[in-house]
Amino acid sequence: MKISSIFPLALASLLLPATVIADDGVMDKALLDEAKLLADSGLHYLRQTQAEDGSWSSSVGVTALGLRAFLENRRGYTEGDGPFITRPVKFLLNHVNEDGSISETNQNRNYNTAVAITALQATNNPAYAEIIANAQRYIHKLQLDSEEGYEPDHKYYGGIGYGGDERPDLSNIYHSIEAMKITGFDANDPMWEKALTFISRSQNNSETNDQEWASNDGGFAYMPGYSPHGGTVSYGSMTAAGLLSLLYAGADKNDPRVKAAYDWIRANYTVETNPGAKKNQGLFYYYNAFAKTMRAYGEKDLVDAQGVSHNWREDLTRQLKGMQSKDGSWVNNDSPRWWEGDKNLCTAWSVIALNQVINK
Amino acid sequence: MRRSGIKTVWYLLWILAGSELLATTLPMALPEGECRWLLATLCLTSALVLLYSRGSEPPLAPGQLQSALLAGLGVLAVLTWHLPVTYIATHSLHFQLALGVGILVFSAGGLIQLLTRFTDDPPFSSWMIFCLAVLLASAPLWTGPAVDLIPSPLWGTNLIIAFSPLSYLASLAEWDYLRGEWFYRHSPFGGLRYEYPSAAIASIVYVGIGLVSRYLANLLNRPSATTDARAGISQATP
Repeated sequence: MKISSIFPLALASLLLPATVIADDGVMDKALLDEAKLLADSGLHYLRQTQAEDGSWSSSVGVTALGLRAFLENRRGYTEGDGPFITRPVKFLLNHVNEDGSISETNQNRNYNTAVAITALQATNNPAYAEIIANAQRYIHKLQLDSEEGYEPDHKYYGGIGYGGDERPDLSNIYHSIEAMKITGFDANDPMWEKALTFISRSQNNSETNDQEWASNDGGFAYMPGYSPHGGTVSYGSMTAAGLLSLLYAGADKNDPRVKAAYDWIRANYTVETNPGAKKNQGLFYYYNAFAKTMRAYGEKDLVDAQGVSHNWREDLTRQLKGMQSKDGSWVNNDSPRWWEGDKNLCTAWSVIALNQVINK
Repeated sequence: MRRSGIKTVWYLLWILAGSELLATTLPMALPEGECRWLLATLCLTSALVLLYSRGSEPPLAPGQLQSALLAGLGVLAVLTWHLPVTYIATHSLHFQLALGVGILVFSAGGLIQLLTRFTDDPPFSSWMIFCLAVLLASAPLWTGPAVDLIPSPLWGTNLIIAFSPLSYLASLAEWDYLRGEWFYRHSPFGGLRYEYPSAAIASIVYVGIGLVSRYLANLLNRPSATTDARAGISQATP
């Protein structure tokens, strides 16, 4: 699969300035205004909970997501707007390590580095180019291949893990390649092809997955041969992440893997739960990945397996409106798994999702 | 003296043989980092089992340090044998792990002595400490369902992780074992926010436990089977 086969319009839309608003009929005007208000109140909450050093939850990852929520908002915040933007940037820069990673901890180094450079890129400040390039090299080095003893037939091949261990998973590689894509990493690097191998092996699609466990619903598990929700079951957050990863890595809408993943989303369409997940685990991760994926896929409406048409922007806006607390925050009341007991994280993810809804 | 030397060699051989046997049965697909960490854990387990098996003998007074040194050397030998040193970081990690296993054995030895002052039964004390170590090490597995229900479990998860000797070894090995494949599949901890304890602080704590336990054991100094047995051996030795 060549990177040149990327369908340019859908992916280019991800890189457009955040101020191109979805006001030309892609969703109901009243709901668009609601989405803007929801995002504003979410950002207001984040302003209130921001620490003196600019961080959220004392975490590089949460801080980077909070920063991204501001920088990609339709209001077009920049570093010129004040300390609420410059301080979190400084917090990220203060956690740049010698190996190029950006993290306050040895765990989560890949996640932290990936979301940190995505946020730094969103500042459009060329002063961070070297830091971003070093972080790209760090992420690139994390990818498992023959250099680490993983040959192409190994289920780990092409994957990327947390950085504190070698066990790769789809969520980590999704964040990694999103960061690499957004920060403009070399499109001809073999990394993309290797990533596609790993992503394909996480999909329940025996036509394109050479692993014996693969079934045929088209959805994605957490990693080859394992789902935290039982066996190798497909679920919403990973299927959205898997589909977006395929698009980032160079697959197009005609690719059988993309078609199968989209069909899974059609068959399991909902914004009320993270479909397929136990106890609604990873619900806000799902909203975030789902919104980005649907925007990248470029369809205004999604027709589900029963033939019912859904405007995903409107559905997600209504759902997030119903879940927002009076203080403007969101939190997963069903399960703290994947850090979703943290209001700052859930709020940042919700605002980023709303930014996808609002921005064309 | 000669008898003690033979026992020492016997002890070392058992540690090496046990670790080696387990090491060779590890699946070859294991990542190097996980392999290193697992080997150290296996050596530690072997050493603790051997501490237990020697519980009825009198090795624990001078033997506490001796056992720790031997366990550490055993780890170093097995790691170096199985994972060739290819870069300086690996070399350093091997030493760190060996030191960690030695410190844990030293700490366990002290606790066994202290407990024996109350039980007058060294094998039973050894067994109790071994069970305690297993209980703490497996806490991320058996506390998982409860921790998964707590809305903001950061403090609780960190505490459970800090008390596990495996976490100490993980810190030294720079290996996030809770997100390794096996633990990730069997415990919810990998999906929660947590921090491993600082290796330096944990080392001080474990050495402290070993020294304080030893001191208290000496302070209590009740006549015990250990003392009796030691007296018996020294009388029997010409």
